[in-house]
Amino acid sequence: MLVDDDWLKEFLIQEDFKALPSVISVRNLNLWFGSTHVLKSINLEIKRNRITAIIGPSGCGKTTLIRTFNRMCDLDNARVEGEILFDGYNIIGDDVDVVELRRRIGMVFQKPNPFPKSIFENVAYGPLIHGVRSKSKLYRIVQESLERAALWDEVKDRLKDNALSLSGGQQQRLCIARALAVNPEVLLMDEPCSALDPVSTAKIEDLMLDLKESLTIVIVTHNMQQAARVSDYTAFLYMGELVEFGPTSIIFERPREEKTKAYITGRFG
Amino acid sequence: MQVRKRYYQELANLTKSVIKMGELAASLIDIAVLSLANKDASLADKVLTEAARIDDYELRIEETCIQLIVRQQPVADDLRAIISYLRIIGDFDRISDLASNIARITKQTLDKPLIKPLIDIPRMSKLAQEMIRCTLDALEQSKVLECVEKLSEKDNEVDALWYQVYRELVSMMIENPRVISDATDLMLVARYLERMADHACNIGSRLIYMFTGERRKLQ
Repeated sequence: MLVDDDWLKEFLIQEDFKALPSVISVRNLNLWFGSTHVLKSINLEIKRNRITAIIGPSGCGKTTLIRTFNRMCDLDNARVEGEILFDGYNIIGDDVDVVELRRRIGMVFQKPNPFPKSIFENVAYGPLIHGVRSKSKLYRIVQESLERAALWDEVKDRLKDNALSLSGGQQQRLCIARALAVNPEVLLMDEPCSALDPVSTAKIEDLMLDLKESLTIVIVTHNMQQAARVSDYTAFLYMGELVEFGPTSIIFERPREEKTKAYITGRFG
Repeated sequence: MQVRKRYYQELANLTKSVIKMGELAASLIDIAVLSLANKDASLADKVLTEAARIDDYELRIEETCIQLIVRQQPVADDLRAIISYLRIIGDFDRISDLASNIARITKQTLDKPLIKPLIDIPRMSKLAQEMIRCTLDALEQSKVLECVEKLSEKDNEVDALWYQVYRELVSMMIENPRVISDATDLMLVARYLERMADHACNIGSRLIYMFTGERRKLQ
């Protein structure tokens, strides 16, 4: 590179995908609901401390895919074949401690779903289940989690209030704090902003950029602009197949596949 | 880091990069004309190597603009800035190409003395550089209107000098056909400098659009 402009040089460097450590490796994953083949031979690498967005039209299998990452698919009566390697182990199997898996791979859903309990209890719930008994330690975890979820300043004086008294955006950040309280390594976010207004959405997006310093995020989103803004890598799913996967900057500038191009330009889906 | 804050920072950095590219382009005009006045091959070579850097700047700023459009969906003044930068860097690139042309003339005529002392050509060079620096100041300080006035004034001066040089060289050629080749070279140099001033005016038009949203052609 000939330019003597450090910023310009750094801005355009594409990191070496293969050299980045994978947190989750999906290998030849197939999933059926009854006789319906929903996910077809998916191969995907989720990289540590990166945000991976999964986009695609409704019914393409986005949500189904991330629900396999922490075995939420068990609740959907799905039949799963293939491998999902997390920390070197295949999490598709009967011998997996699903409770521990879901601690390490947390999830935030489309609609904020706080428990009808106090703000404090919502966040303390996970650590309590996982055996934290000391009150001071619990308080510290709650404070830290709310701080990481950028909610502490807004709720520190009303921790005993019912969580349902919070606004939608605050409830969603509370759900993120609740997921963070058990110190997960991966955070799965299923349309986390689709029920929120633009200001709350911006807060969640800022939060995602902060959180990726310490954990890995996989986000399913209908909002392509959101995927373009916050994610490092983007996967495009169509009718259960992974059509294209790559750096977000490339997927949205010069996708290789016609289907990806048609979808992100709004020509179908 | 906030998504929007990062984006504003990126836009500010982009502006700085465009200014750096412009400064480099302006400096090439000076070096190119000096290389001709002094018949200095090393200065001419310097123009040609630095022009490669300008090409690189153009490519990378363009890529950066594309990325910002793709990832941040800019609107309003942010959109106008990015669109304007995409065009301004094209003008800088043309200016650097024209400076390279002057450097090539220097290299082809190293062993020949100048047919006349250069007086108006260095003046044109100085004016063209001032015009570019004026656009860079306007960009840096967001003050476009003062710059636009200066640009028009200086462009008129450059045009007047161009006609003066043109007439002078034509009469030299009529008087002495043996200087036709060398005089044509000088005429080209003057023409290149006049074109550079026009590119500076184009940049002025882009800045008006960028800062006010109005599309106005500077003559």
